[in-house]
Formats: sequence, C-alpha cells, structure tokens
Amino acid sequence: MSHLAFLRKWRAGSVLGVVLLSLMGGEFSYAAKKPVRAQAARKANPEELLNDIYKDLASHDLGSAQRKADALVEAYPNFRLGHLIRGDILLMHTRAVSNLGAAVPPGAEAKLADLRREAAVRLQAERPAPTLLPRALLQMRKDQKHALIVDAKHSRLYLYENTNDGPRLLQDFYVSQGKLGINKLKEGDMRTPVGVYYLIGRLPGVKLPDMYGKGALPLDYPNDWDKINGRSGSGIWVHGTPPETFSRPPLSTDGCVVVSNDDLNFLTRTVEIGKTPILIGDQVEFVSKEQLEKDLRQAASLVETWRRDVENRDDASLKSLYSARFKSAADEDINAWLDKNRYLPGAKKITVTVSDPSFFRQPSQEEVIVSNFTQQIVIGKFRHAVRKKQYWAKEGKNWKIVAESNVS
Amino acid sequence: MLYCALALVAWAPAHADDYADVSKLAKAGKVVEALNKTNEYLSKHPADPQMRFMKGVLLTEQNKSDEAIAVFTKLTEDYKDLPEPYNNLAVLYAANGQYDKARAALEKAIRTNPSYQTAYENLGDIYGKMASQAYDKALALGSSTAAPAKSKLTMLRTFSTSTGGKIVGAETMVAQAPAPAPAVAPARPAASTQPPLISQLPPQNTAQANAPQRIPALSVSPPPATAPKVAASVAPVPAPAAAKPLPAPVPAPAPAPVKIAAAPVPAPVPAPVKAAPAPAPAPTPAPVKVAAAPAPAPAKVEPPKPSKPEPEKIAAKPDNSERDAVIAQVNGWAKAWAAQNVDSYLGYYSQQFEPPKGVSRKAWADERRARIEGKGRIHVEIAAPEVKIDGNTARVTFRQTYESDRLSARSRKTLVMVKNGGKWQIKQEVSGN
Repeated sequence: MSHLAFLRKWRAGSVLGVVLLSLMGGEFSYAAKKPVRAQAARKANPEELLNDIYKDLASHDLGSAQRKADALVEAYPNFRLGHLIRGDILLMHTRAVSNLGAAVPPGAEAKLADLRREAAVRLQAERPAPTLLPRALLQMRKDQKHALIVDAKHSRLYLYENTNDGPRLLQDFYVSQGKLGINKLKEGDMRTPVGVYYLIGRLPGVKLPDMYGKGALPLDYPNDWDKINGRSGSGIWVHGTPPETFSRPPLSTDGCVVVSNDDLNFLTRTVEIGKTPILIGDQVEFVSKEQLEKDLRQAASLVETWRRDVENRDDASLKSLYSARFKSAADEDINAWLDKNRYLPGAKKITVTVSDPSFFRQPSQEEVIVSNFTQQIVIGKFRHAVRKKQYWAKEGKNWKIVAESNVS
Repeated sequence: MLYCALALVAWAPAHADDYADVSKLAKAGKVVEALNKTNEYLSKHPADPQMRFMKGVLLTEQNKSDEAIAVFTKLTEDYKDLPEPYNNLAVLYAANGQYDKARAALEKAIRTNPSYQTAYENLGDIYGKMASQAYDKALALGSSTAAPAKSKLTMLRTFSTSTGGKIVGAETMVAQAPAPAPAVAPARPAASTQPPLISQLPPQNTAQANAPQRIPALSVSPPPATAPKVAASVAPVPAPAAAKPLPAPVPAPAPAPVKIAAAPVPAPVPAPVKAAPAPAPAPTPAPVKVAAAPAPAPAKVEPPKPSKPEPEKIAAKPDNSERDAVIAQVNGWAKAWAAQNVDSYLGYYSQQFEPPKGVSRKAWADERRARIEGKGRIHVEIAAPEVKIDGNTARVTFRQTYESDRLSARSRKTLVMVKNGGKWQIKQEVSGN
C-alpha cells in the first residue's frame, strides 16, 4: 500500500511539504527508463506524469505538482488515480496530507484501496537495467519480431523487440489481472493463467461489448501443457478498458490481462498474430547476458539430445526423455505417441535436423521450457518436415518432455 | 446589526449618508430599494468604488449572480490592488461550482495583499471543494459533486478591510484612508481572526432570513479590522482593545474610540482608492506599542485582596489560590478548545458573556461550534499569563499560539473573567496586542 507521508505547514510557516515515498525507497530508475521512452513519442505517458508529480512533491514544489496534476487529469479525464492524487495535492495547499486519498469520505473504502494498490504498483514499476535481459526469452525465432512478458507480481507488461543483439525492451505497461491473481485452473476461477502463450487473433473494439474497450487480442489458453494438467476455461484475452475508466485496478478481471485503450491500440499495431508470444508468470527475472546464454545452451542441448536419439533410433534412450506424465494432445501415452511419429521404421539410416528453434522459459516457480522447432527427417529420398512444440519440465534434477505436439 | 458594515466607509467622493441609507434599507430586508438607491447614487457618481461594491453585494443577494460578477469583475479591472472584489468574485464563482475560477480570483486577492485573511480562508475552502470533486472523480462517485449551495465562503461587504484599517462599531464607523499599511502586511493573521464562514453565521439574522440568497455568505462579517491607523489617529484615547492588528472574532472595538474617530471622518479620508501604499508605515508600529504597553503593567500590580479574612497570611505569603484557579480555568478552556470538545469549551463561558458583534449568545455558540468542530485539528497554547484580580473579576492576559489545519498564528489575548458560585468563567474575550 502506498503510504505517502506529507508534512505541511500553512503559508505563514511556509515550509511546503516533505514527501516520503516510503515504500519506494530509491526504486525509480530513470536512467534505464529514459532512452527507452524517448522513442515512444506519443502523448505524455500518464505514469510518467505521475512520477514527475511525486518528484515535485519530494522536492517541495507544490505549485509544480499542482500544475502537473491539473494537466494529467485534463489529458486523461478518466484516469481515476490521477484525480485522487490531484485531490490530495489540492488539499496540501491547506492541510497535511499523510497518505494517498487522505480525505476521501467514508463509504468508498474498497475503491480507495484499489486505487492505492494501483498507485503502489505504478510507482514501483521496475525497469531493468539495460544490460539485463528477461530470463524467459531464451531465444526468439528470427521472424518473431516481438514478445510480451506479463509480470503478475508487479502488474506489469513488458514489450520486447527481437533484435540481432537479442531482446530489447521497447516499453512497459501497467496491467490488470484476475481478481484472484494467477494460476488459472478452471473456468470461472477469476484467475489469469501462467504459461507460454501466443496471441492468436485481433478483435476490433467496435464488435465487442464496451467492457473490452478498443479491442482484444485472444490468447491460445489452454495450451497443451494446460490441457494435460486439466486446466479449463477459455477466452483469456488481452483487452482494453471500458470508456468510463482509463485503467482498472490491479486485481480486477475475470482472468484477462487488461491494459489501457491507448496501450491496447499500440500493442494491436505492434504484435503479429500467431507469432508473438506472451509469457505470463509471477517470477519474471532479469539476468545477465551470460546467464541467459547459459540457460539457452542448456535448453538447446535438451533438444539436441532428443534429436540424436531420434536419429539413432535409440528408442529406450528417447523414451527416457519423456516424463511419466506425458500425454499427447489426443490423450495418447508415450508409446503410442512415439509409434505415430516414427517414420519408415525399417529404414536403417535416417537423418534428423532441427532448425528455426525458439526457446521460452515460463516465468514461474514451476520450471518449464517451451521449445518450438522444425524437425526434418531425411530417409533416402523420403523427406518429411514438421513443426514441433515441446514442453520440457524439470523433474528432480532432470528435464523431461511433458507435452509435445506437431504444429500444423 | 450585521448590515452596519454596509455603512462603513466614506470613500472620498461619497457621502456617508448615502451609504447609511443603503445600509439601513438592506438591513431592513429592502434589498430592491437599497439597490435602487445604489443605482441612483451611481448614476451621479458612476465611478464610486464603494457604492459599486455595494451594488455587487446587493445583486448577489438577489441571486443576480451574473450581474454581480460583472460588477465585481469591473471593479477588479479598475482597482487591481483591492482584494475584496476578487474575493467576492471567488465566492460567486464557487457558488456556481466554478472552482478553478474561484481559485484564480482568490490567488489574485492574496497577491494584492499577502496578509489578506479572508481570501486565505476562502481559498482553503476552494481547495477543499476541488479536492472533494477530484476524489469523486477518482472513486467514480457521481453524487456529491457540485453542491455549490453548501459553499462556506465568506462574502465581503466592504472592501477596505485589508487596504485600510477600519473599525466597525454598532451603527457607526470609522473611515480610513485606504493606505495599504505595509506594516500590517507582514503580520501573521491571528488565529482568532477567522472571519465567519458562511455556514456558521447566526441563523436568526433577520436580514439574512429576509433575503432570498443562495449564498449564505452574504451576512456580514465585520471583517478583521486591521486597525493600526485608527489607533494612530486616536492614539492616546482608545482602550487597548481598539488597537489591535490581530483582531478576533471577539468583542468588536469598544464604542468609545469609534465615536471619537467618527467625528473627524472627512478629514483623514480623502485619499483615493489607489492611494500610494507608502504613506502609512511610520505611524503604524507606534500605536501597537502604545496599546501593548498597558498589558504587562497590570501583572505587577497584583491587587490586594481586602476581602480575604486572613490578612496576615497574605502579608507573609501572598495567597495565589485565586490566581491559580483563574489560570487553571484558562488552561482548561484552552485544552477544551484544542481537544475540540465544544461542550466543555462553551462551559467556560459565563452566562454574562458578551458575544462579539452584538450577536446572540446562541448564534455565537453555534458559530464557535461550527468553527471548532469544522477543523481537522487544533492546537492551542497559552504562554505567560498575567492575572489581575479585582474582587470577583479577573483579567488574564496571555500570549496565545493557535494552530489548525488551516493556519497558525500567535496573538495576545485578554480574558475578562467573573467568579460565579466559586467558579471563574469568561465574561469577555479580547484579542490584540
């Protein structure tokens, strides 16, 4: 909860105000933020304005804070948190304001608590240092231009661009998630799923009820791994906000990921349907390039082991790479699955190659790596290529394939 | 009696008689006649600022808010240095829910005179209003917005309160040259000077009852009289109470000096509204000192207590029990005030208490209650009390430090106390240096 302690004396005393952003300590990292934001030359970002207002208050500049708060609500008339903070700033002209929404009349406690949570997550928003990379994005496929990562713990969505030098943070956004948080298990549990998903559609707002705002980007929840785990439900989307509000409280959806309409429009223009992954979890980590490369080598070596076993027709070894929990999408067990994927079993010499791989690490406590690649089998004149998706989960010390599917 | 303020000032070209007439009419609830009279006068003296100001007040009273705004707006254009028209504009804007405009007008009022207390108070209210609107938007509450009728802002009936000292007595007045009295400006407003806020004004004010007004503010608050100049002109004469740059909601200056001042009215007045700010400073500090001088004196003169049965004890060791009892009462009073325990606070006032401005005791008590309970917090400190006891009457003078969420101020205060049934109670409350 945001507890912003303000001390203030009336003019005669003429000490303006001391702001203690107790919970934020030194967490603003403007250094990391600026180069990133500079290129997004859209209208002033409300969160940036919010931060600026707090900087003004911290430096006892009530007049400037007031002007910025006025400008903020003028630019974003439905930004409720902006109005709340402006209310506090107005009050600061006449009295001490000890916390956010200091003089909100009784009767709106729940709404006030929501706004305070929103303020807390917005003002605590972390931007990783430029040298740090998201551990989840082990390797994007070359033609994947962007990836989204949702940090459920911090109500934050990061938009990464795939460059030759690796992923680069383009922008980050405040998001709302399920009322009961993450780890969706079943229909109607008001939770947001955790996992590696893809954006599979674009729904324009005009065709949707008001509550979805300017549009929606559906996810492929439940994925193979969800199905194996019996997770149910559907219709998990990234979508906008209804016209009456600029943003929604951090925990407020039925499981969808909600961003402001401005942000949704931007994302809609940016992402590629069917290609752009969205990784959701509560353990978004930012690591050094070395660490990321190490993780990638490990992930790649898992697939390489698998490739070799397929090529060598070493069924015993191949089978040992699969988890006892393994089930195919058609509910086949491991033997049935391997039989189905065995080509020309009589042939002596086959060649298997793996190309265009991508590796994503689920940003959750449960360690799961999702690899996508094109498998090509050459047996004499017979050639067969198939796009595969494998879910590797860590079981004890070993990584095992818990789900696998052929992508058409 | 609240309308007496209308009769206040004789600006150079105007005649006190005309103001008095208008004031009387207004006081009798004959707003239309008062307005006619005002218009009549203005047809002959179209520039007269005081009468124009009155017209604005009267128009406001008739709910002719647009016309009133026009009058005050023109006044602010013609007399940029006067805070009062800005203040009243703000009250009108606030009544329309135009808080942004109200805020701007009040800020201008304060810019014209940094010690202008009413504007501060009103600005505080505007900020509060705006904050509550902002909160409503934040919480998507549609309901409690725009209740301009609830405005607590103080409308001023006269515009010389800050620019020139003036003392309001019952049915009489003292006119002052509108010199901005630089010496006053830096003085901090006294805590006790809060002008009555609209909602807290005496309900049984007849004039107010008669006038169909949206803005209850219209009842008069004899504005905090910054009186140094008065004191200057009548320096030797006035009772200490008259010379107070830090006036209180308490007893208006005694009638005595008022009469004295009333006579020479035409003489000191002729300065035009835009009088140069310079001329006044020299005399100002002097009367304050003069007035202040008597205060410490009584302390030493601890009166003998002839009624005491055991004089020998007194001789040996002065009996301080009465003095202690008085101080205990004063401390209790301050404590109840600070604790915002109004019932207890009012209990310190005697039945004989003389409310200021001639209002009824009930009206006064209601006002105090609204004022005290309306604050977020109050801190009151009493320092260096000096007690003078004469039989069943005591006079306690002390330094009062007052702080609320709105303002803080120090002032000198004198409580005249009487002993009723063995208990000391406040009979009169006087502020000032």
